Amino acid sequence: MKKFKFILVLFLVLLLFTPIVASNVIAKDSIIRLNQQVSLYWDTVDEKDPIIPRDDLKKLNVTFEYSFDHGLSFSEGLYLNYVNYKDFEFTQTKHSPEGAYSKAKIDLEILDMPSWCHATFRHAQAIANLSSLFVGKIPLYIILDDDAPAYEQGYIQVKAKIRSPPAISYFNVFEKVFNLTFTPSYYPIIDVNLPEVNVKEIEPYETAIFPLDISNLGNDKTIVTLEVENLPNDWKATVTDSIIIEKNSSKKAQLSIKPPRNFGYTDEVGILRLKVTPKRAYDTSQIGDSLTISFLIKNKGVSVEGDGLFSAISMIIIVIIIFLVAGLYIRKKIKSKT
Amino acid sequence: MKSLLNGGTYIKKKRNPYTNLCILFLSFVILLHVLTPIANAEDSEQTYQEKEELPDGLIPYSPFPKDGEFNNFITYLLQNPSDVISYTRKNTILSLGYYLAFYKQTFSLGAIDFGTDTPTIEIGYNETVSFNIGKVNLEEYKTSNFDNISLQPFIKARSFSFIVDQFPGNRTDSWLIDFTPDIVIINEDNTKANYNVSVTLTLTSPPIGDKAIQSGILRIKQSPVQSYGSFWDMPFPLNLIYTLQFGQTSGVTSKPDYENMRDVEILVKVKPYHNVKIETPEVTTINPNQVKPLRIGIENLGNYKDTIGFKIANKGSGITLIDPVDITLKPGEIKDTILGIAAEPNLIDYGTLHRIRIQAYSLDDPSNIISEKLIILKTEGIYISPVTLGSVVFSVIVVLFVIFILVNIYKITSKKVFKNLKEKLKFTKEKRKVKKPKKKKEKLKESPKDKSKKESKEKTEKKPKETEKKKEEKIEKKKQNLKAKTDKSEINKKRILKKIKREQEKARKKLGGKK
Repeated sequence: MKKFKFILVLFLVLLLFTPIVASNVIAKDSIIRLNQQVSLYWDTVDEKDPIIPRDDLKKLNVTFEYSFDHGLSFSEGLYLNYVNYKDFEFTQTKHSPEGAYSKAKIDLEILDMPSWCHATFRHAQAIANLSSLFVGKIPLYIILDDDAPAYEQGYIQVKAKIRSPPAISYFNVFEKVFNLTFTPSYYPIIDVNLPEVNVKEIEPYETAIFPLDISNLGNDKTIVTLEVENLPNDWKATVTDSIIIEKNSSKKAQLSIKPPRNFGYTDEVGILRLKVTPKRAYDTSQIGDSLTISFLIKNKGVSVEGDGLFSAISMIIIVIIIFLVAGLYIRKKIKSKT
Repeated sequence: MKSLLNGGTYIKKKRNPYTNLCILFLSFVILLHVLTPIANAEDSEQTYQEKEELPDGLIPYSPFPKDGEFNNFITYLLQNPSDVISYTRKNTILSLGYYLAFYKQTFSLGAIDFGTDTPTIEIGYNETVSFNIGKVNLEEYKTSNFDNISLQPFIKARSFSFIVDQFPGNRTDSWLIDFTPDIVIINEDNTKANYNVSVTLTLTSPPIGDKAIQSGILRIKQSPVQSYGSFWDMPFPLNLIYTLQFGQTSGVTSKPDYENMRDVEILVKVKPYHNVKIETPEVTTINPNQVKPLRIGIENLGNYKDTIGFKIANKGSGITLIDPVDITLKPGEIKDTILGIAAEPNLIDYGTLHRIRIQAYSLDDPSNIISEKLIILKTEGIYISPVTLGSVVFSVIVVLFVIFILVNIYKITSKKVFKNLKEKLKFTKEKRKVKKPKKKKEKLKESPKDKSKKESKEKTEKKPKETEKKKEEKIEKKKQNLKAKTDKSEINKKRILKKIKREQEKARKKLGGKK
């Protein structure tokens, strides 16, 4: 009799749980199935817009797509509770989204990003309605250091994790890592080093040569154009028109200044300016701040040729003639008197 | 236990008829589940989900049936027993899930999501920025105060304190942060009190060398602490067992739950700090008409790569200056720029001091002078330019020439004048000689004085004639003497020549004899 009772109870217990297990496990995949997942991506507009390093505190919108599905009756009961346990109703359509646990919380954690990038989400969590598909946006703020490589793809590795509101939950814990890419803009920085000084004293027939070491401290290949300004009249200057410099490297340029060649003694000071402008090598419309370098050249000495030679010789001849005439006249006079 | 208490005899109890009835009902329900095909259950579930509507006359199931709904349910059950059976089976299981979820939610502790309405802040050196942190309303992405935080059963109080996990630039010595209040305590009495946590962030020190602080992330962590009440007094010991921490947590304040910490990240944009240190020599001396490059040391005290431009505020007089060369410096880097100086060609400069004020600015903000330095230049020395030297020489020559001409002219003119005067004098004398004596003889007799004068004059006129004769004689004598001397010397020469010839002949003869 005891055995019969035990078997009966066992049979009844099995009868109780078998359909539950069968209806959920066999028909679907598990007894409790509350599946949720999320995907992250940029707004297409934001992605195309390059970020200017250092100065630009960029706000980009990250779109998250949350999708949810649940299993059969038991799972649906759980789901409905999470949706709104205060005004529990059978159908999804009639429940109110308001409630303590009606939202799915998505934890957003930045796992990795380049050392020249600093980024943070508006909030570390995003929320989504427990519906089959929910699309939302959360702002992400980015600032880049000035050494961010221009127009090279940067990335922000974000881990999205969906946790159920309570500590112990029937929801599946969804966790996925996404790579959000962005593009840094061009940030030109150049430096001009003068191996020699910018002041020189030269003879009238000499040419002042100033070597220039131009360094590209910016974040992309740069064309540096050189332009002479405020050149004194009749002075001639020759400068390297432009040079292409790779990132974090330097190249040499040269400025030659030739003063006018005047006959006789010259002592003059010439001051001129050199304007050095960086431009992006692949897009010369992107121009940086120009550096200005002033040069002082003293042209001092005697020249036996050049402009004014004829006039000077004629002047000397005239003076000599005057002296001779005067001398002869005096001599004649003296002779005549003696 | 009862059987043992009754002397070890087992007394079989009769089953209560109500118990049997319950078992029968339960068996009936179970049988219903078993007998109902599984496929139907799935189909029906799908249809419900697809249609999102219930069959006509079926009231939405609720574990909290409202007034009147239960009666309708019974009438429908009587009319359509098969539908109701399958429906009831489904909802029974659904209810199990519902209550299980409710139970777990009730007895679980969730971390409070906190954040800020200012996810980005901009701060400069020696600046202070304030912002609030609080409980986040994620639906609106807005921060609210720490109010209305419900306390779970058995928890008497919760507290939240804040710690900084990361400062921008990973340097703690340059930042100062203050939370007001330091700790938020929520207990049963003040669950609805407003807690406005104000955070004050100050960037204290200027950049130090290459460790300058740039933009970065400020990460604040929340450390929740909860104090549990006495579980022994609770009416539901089963709930306490469920927590499995009955003895440990009763009346205990937990340690900060770092695992469940939520943090708030704020993107801090550190404003560019433009500053340079200018180092110059104390006094620089320059000679007149000299050009000189003056090297000026520049150190970037800012926090970013900076291109520094320079201006000269007061250029002064007597010197020509060019603006120092623009240079680009990394934070903490030291480089030299060059100031070009040209002194004017003053002949003599006893030492003039020129005060030159150099101003530095960043190309990012040219209107803002970030540093200034006074340079003292001293021009001193003598300079004679070839032009002045040449002009002096030329002018001297001209002056000498003019003097020469003047002298000659003077000489010529003076000779002419003398001659004219002499001629005039002669002419007058002759006239006097001719005219005056006749008149005097005619009019007056000569006085003795006049006679003596005339005599003296005659003597003086005669004297030169005598002296001239003497001179001529002397000259003739000298000539004769010279002639005599020359004659003597010629004779001597001839004698000597003769002697030499004689000696030579003697020598020849000797040589000839020997041969």
